[in-house]
Amino acid sequence: MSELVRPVPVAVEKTPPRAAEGPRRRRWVREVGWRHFVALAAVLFALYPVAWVVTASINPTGSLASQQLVPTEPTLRHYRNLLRGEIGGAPVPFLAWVRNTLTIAGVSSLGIVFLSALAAYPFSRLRFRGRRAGLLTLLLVQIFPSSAAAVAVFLLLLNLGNVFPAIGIGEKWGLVLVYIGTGLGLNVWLMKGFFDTIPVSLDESARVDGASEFQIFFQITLPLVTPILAVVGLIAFVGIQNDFILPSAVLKQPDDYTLAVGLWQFVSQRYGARWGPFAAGAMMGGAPIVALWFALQRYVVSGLTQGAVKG
Amino acid sequence: MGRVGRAWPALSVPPGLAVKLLLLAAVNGLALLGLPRMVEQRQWGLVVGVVVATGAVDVVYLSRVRSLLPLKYLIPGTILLVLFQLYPVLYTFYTSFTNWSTAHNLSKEQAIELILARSEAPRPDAQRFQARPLVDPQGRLALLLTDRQGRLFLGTPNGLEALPPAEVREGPAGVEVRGYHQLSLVEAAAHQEELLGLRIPTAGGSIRLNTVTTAAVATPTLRYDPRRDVMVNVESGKVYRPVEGRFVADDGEALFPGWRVFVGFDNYVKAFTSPAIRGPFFRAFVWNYVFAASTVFLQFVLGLALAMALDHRRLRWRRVYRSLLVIPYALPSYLTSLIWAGLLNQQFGPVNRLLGTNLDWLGDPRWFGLLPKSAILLVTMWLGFPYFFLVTTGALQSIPAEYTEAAAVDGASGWYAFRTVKLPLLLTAVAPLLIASFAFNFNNFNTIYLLTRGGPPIAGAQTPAGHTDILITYTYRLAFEVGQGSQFGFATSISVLIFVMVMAISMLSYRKTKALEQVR
Amino acid sequence: MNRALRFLALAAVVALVGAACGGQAAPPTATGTAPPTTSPAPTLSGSLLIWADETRAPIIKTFADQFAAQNPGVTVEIQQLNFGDIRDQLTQAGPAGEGPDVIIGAHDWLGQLVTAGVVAPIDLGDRAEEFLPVAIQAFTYNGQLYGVPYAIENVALVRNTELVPEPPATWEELTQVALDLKEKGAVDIPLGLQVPDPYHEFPLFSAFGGYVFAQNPDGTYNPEDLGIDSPGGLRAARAFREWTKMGLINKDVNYDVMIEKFGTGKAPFAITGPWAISQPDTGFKATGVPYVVEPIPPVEGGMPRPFVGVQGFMVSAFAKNPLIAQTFVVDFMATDEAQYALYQVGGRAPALRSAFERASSDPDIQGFGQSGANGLPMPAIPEMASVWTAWTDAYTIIFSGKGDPEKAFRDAAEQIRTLIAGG
Repeated sequence: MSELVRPVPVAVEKTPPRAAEGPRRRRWVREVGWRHFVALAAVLFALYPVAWVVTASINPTGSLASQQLVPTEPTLRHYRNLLRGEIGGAPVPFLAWVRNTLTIAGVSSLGIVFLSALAAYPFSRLRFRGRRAGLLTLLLVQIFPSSAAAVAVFLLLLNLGNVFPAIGIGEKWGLVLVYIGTGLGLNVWLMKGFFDTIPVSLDESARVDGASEFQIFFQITLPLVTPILAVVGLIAFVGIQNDFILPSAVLKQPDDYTLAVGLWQFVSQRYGARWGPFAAGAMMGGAPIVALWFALQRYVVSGLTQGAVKG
Repeated sequence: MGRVGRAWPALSVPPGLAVKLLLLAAVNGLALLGLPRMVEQRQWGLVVGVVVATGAVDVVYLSRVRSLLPLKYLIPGTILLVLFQLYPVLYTFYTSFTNWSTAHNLSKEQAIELILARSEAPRPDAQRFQARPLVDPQGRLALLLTDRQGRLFLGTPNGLEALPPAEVREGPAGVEVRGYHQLSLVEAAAHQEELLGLRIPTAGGSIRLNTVTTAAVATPTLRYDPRRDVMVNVESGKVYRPVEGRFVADDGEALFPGWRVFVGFDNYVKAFTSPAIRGPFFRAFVWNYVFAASTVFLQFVLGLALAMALDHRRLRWRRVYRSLLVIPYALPSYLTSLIWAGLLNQQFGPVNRLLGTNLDWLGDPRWFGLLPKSAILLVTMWLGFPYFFLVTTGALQSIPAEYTEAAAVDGASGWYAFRTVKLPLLLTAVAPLLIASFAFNFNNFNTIYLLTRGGPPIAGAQTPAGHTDILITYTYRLAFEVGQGSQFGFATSISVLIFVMVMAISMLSYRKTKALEQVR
Repeated sequence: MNRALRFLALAAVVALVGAACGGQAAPPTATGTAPPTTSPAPTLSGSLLIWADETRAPIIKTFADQFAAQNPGVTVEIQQLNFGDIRDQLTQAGPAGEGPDVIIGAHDWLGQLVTAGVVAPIDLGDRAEEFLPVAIQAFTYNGQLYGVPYAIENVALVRNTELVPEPPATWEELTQVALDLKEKGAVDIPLGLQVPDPYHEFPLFSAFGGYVFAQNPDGTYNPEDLGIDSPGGLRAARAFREWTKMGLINKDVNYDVMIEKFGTGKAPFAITGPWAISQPDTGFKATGVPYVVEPIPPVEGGMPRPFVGVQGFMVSAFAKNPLIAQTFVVDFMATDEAQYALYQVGGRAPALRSAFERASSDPDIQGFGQSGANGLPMPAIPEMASVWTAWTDAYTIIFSGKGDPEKAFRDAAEQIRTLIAGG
């Protein structure tokens, strides 16, 4: 497999001669500089509305119609109130919401990553009857508008909960199962696409070495697609964290709410939405996602995975 | 695993197998635990489902039949998928063939019970009593009644009996009279079916309990005849027959509530023939297609372009850039859509001040609402580009570098190499996501609703419709907002129709990209 | 053969082990079979489930706790839902057996709740006279009472007393004062009227003699007689366009802008309801702007008549404990203390006379009360659902300043008639 060994790119850029300053700068602009420009422009576009979310979160009145980016009397009151778990004497179990969200979204996205990788593997590697039909079904159920399905899921959990109380209405584990079930279709497709890009020769040589099917799956294939596993996990996590239709139908007690459901309470009244705490809560809820992505990039974007191919 | 297993001594169990058996044991045990309860609650659907699923799990993991190997990978996901995704889809199909709506919300039994109960509500001028529920040592129930004049009566199923005040003794736990003692609220609650069913015959009807402390005279005006399956007015003898989930008299008078019945293709016929829907349908469909396709295109192109721009090993701060770019995605779109609506407000929004313009971004009806349509596309692009940025960032890393390097070795230019080598691979991998994203945006009710509610309105339309209405906002308004209550059956039939449309469009475009042929 | 045997044996072992690990099966849950009358009293417990919104749940909880304390064995649970979600959730969860015993809600939900069959009649008997008549009338549907009312709400004029110390006697005077202030640059907007919103525009609309549905002699609404394109309605359409041209009404003013501008003293007047006063953070009380609530002055001599909404307790037709539920709402929430406490958190006038009189020392309640005295109950008939969207669209066109205002209302009326006919 020597042809898979990649050239060592760093060698090229070592010790540039001082005399070539001008051409070097031009080359920097051509290769790297413009990327900073694009990135900065994109970041500005991405963050301009977010700045107004921040404004709402530090505005004492929490108004969405504020016309100044920096309110006259900025305050961290909304953040403090949420963290203290009390607004105007009423308990707001914000930290419990965060905990529930992390549990539900965390377990669900791990489940999605694992089960969809498991299901994607045979679709990519094995040939069996019903494979094509299975793939098409996966895609079709994904296209179906989910708005109509919430009622069915509610009734289903109701009936299941009568038998297995741990996954019924009001319980987070039922929700986790629903999220895993509904999150599979698309991700199986996505992962299958990436499994397909991994040369089959790898499996075959492993098989010759006496590895079992499951060993090939866990020890050869999975490590090679780590980037996409991380991305699938992150996307699933964000989607679940921000969903409120399903959890608001299933979860009944304020202490069991997820962030999305809990924060929704502030702004659901037709007149009298409280954007201050909502925006503050959303900022605090979004921060872990950004941090997680920052941390995950190490696995997504490093050369580690290619290293495995060389073996 | 099998090959390894054979090397073990006959009686000991390899660790992998032990784990497998333990997991299987747990699954079977749970099923066995649940079965009695399911049978007891007569949830036969669940019984069948659980038995089939457990059986399938056992067979797949215990058998060594080679052809079952794919199922070892597939079955855990399949079970969850069937349960939580396929079943709701089937349920939606089923609903689209019923008349389920606000007016047809119950089962027939529930509806009959409620119609009868309502027909027995006391009239405003009915005679009323203070009441105390009583029970005797044999468990027979009665009421101690006090009328407006303060006279006392004992009410039993046999009738009303005047009580001299001397016979009523106030005890520590309520009154005692003729061997009866008063029921506490909790005791009354435990007997509420019988208490609420207790009728004390008297002149002009019968006395029944309203609350634990009040009672009134009432007469039912309707009677259900189970043999003929009709409702009959007790006084006039007027007959109400069941017609499409309601009891209707010959003169057209209907009783409410109705119940849910199967109506075949009625909802679909309505969707195709109702002038209200036909009117702006084509217009909404064209914009719907443009909206969904452009949204996916813009999101994908911007996301991919950024992923590529930031995919350079000598670019400093790229992790910071990448992290900042996902922030729009990390915030709830409910909040950010409304923020955008505020930003785009003509007089009070900052965007016009920033650009020095005075545009009515979300409300200008000229040119078929071109400006609001563009504004919506801008916002949906903002909402969704981080998703494709994330996916393509991961994808670019997962495509083995040797493909592109091979192209580079052949002397191809960067763009050419990308277009001919990376992009097709990438498209193969993300094509399902593009399709799903198209489908999602085709039904992107929330964003449209939060930004413009479908507006600006089309002046002079037959039914309320707006320039930025997509099919789902337009039809859901008909099904849930402007009609009398919510029409779930009709709404789901629309969902099914949209599903068919999206499926056709997706399959066509998928064929075109030849991606399906590349399913290896 | 061998394989099949091994499989069966394994499966059996697995099943047994699993069942053993699971511990003893839970006792079967009791089904709905009623105990025979002669049986000894069954286990004494009655539980009550109440759905209430964030604002009122804590208060209702204190009364529920008292109720439970006075009746040993009774437990009460409050679930917090968004006010606007309660109606639809009850419609779905109730028949499925998963709903509450008691909800709070608005009277204009009745058309749907009664049609759907999910609320039970309530009999207040003589106690009905203890309530304000408008509240009882609002909760009466098809001749039966379906709720114990606790609050009344409507919009009124809110005036910034610093910018405008004296109440304007007429709408014309108000217009003059407001536009002058705007001209001088003292305010950002002359009038905080959220548009397009037929509910908030209704007082001005009705001042010209416009109506939605004509009222029958008994006060109920007649869905056959739609009055949006009546002569008075069309006069109102022209007046709204006129006010738009003068700059009095601005299409960009929505609820958020209205509350922000009036709350920071940047608007001299607002037409809004008690929610804008009592709302935390942004409300007029919270921002400390000097204000007074009063009736909207006559418009061209016509009296503005706001829609009056009533909130109340309703009992689910699928209550598991109907007797306790009825007892709780009639005997416990129709009391002076309960109604007064709900007024204190919600800022709406109580529906019970005695509590209303206690609360009327509050100048805001007085102001809203005077405004609502001219009001009309919001129609609860199901046909009302067909009105809102079409009418909102018509207002959008009028406030955009383009197109014929009368035609906008005529088109809307046609749309509404089509929708009502289409059911």
